[in-house]
Amino acid sequence: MDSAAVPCFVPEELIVEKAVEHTDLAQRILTRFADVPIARVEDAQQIWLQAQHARVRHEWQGKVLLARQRGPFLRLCPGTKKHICCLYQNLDVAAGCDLNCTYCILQGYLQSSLVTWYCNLEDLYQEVDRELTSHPEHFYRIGTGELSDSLTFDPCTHLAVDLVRFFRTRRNAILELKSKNTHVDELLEVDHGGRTVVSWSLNAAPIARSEEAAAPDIEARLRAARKVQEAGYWLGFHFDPMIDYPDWRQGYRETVDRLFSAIRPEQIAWISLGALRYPAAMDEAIRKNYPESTIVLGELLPGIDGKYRYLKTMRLEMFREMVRWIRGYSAAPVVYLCMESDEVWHKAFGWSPGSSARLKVLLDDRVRSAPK
Amino acid sequence: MFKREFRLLEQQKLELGDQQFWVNNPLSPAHLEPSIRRLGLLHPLVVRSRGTNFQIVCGFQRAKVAQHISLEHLPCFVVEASDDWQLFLYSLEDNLTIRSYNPIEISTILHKCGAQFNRSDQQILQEIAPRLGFGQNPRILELYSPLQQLDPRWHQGVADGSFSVEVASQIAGLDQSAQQALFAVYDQLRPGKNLQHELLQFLQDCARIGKKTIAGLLAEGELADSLQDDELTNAQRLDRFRQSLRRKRYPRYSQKVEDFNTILKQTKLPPTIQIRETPFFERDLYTLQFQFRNQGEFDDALAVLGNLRDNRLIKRLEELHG
Ligand code: SF4
Repeated sequence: MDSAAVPCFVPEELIVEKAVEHTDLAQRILTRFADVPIARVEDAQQIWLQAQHARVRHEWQGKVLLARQRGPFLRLCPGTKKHICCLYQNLDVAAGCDLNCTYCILQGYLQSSLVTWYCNLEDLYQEVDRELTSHPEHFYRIGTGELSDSLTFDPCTHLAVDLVRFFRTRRNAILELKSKNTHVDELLEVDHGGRTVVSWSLNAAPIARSEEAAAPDIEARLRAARKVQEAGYWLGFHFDPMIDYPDWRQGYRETVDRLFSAIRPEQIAWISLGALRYPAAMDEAIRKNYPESTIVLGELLPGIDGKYRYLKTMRLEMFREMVRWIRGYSAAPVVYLCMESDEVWHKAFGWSPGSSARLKVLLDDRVRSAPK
Repeated sequence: MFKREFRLLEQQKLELGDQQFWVNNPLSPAHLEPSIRRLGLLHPLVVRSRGTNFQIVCGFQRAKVAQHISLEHLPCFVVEASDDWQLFLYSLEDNLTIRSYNPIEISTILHKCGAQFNRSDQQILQEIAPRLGFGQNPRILELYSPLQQLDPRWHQGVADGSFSVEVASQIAGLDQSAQQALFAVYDQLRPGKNLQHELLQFLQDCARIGKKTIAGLLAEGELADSLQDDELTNAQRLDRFRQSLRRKRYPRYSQKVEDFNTILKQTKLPPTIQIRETPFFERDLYTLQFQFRNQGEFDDALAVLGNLRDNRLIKRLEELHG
């Protein structure tokens, strides 16, 4: 979908947990959407429970729950066993997304399209502040794009700029806003101090059209990236999930070409590569939620961590080609694999960081200072 | 509870054709006949008067047998009730006191609740699902409602449990020609329940990949051949069918397995020496195992292994990993 055609998300119903009703974020949202029907609940738990029993995923489409985050906001990315991971920290400011990508991992644990925005942001800032100040020697890469898209709800919550400001002066952390959406205008006005990476998921254009149909198209994402580049941010790109289809070479090659014709490589912090993978239970969810999608027809086989992946030789072929094309343009960005084994690293790249800790250092070092 | 009166009614007065409260499947009451012949009807029917005749609420199968063996009078409870829904619930409960419902019957019950008695899904979940042992789990509707669309050929096997309800429910969503073609395969090969699911999934996937209908897919090439091979036992036929299907579904992986087996075959290893790959060739790792009973066999095995260095076996296995 072209960016001009991507409307901003507007909730159809707001459900407010009483405990957060008076928080700044909830007030901001309630004022902004004064004409949207509101329901109040004592305990958000009852809504999550109802939503988990949804018969069809889209039953809760458009409904947004304003709730208190019960657990910690910050969580170390669980990664996957026997694979090299980047030791990322997820900051769960929301759960759920309106872009409905067919492969979205959220289907595996959220049974419905209910979106939750956590509103007790004072707790969030306190928690992150405590964590960062009590471990000054540790470097944190922190992202909000794990249980949602980092920018897709920003016209409603305006949270991204708050976070960018919060991280501006942090010396031992960097924020990553990971998105497929194009709502970047507010970011352009903020003093970010080089402590934020704004990153986009990219894909081959035909895959973006069929599997990410509600998201802005690749050109629009790159146009947004270019604006953010002009504002001096670090940029990141994630070719994840790469999907096997007859013309994948041409499709991915074209996206790499478009990327480097739009963006200065020196400002790209990292580019990650990951092939389509999902836990066995998600196969059923994708078939049910997106019966037209053909991604489940790929040659996906159970790997050592129980997740379905393409045959290793197929993944190697994809990764080798991507590295070749990317390196043909620039040696500057760190190119890394998401959730792959040491063996695959070696075969695809000719070297391997050897451990998750070592990969973390590579990525941390890239963004310790502001982009040049 | 309804007001009811016990009466002996003439068999002809029972309206066997009125199936408002009927949910039984199959309507083949043969198993009841010997006992009814010997002992008569021990359990009275439940009927409602309708003019001079009587509408059956509970006991369709018994009434059928009575008609078949020309029993003139039947013991019945005649109920006075105008609320059809309450009578339907009564008939369900009555059956449940003596047996449980099979999947086709459950599907009929759910269908009647909606189509005949205008019950919403929510009401069905609250009032009917718990009676059938499903609590208020909405899965009952997803799983059993589609069985109404199932080609009748499948009914017996689903009712007696030879075919999985999950699989039958998916098959019910396919067109008639697919349902019939699949029935021919499942009826012939009689796969176990796990395999029923795998075969259906692979067949649907292969049909989508090849842009064919399921019936078309089954009528051609290796799949059709494996079904028609009279030299094979049924178990062998099932295995061959399954292997052909796997090759279609995972061509690149199957090719790799074939290459691996070809390399081993050409190496002519004795059966006491085995080389195994990791599952799905995910790791660059092979396992070598050999057996021996004495020094002589041990030395022989080492000699064979030593020769393997010369015939490029290891290099070729390495190459399989790309
Ligand atoms: S943008 Fe990300 S979070 Fe949103 S649906 Fe797509 S994959 Fe899921």
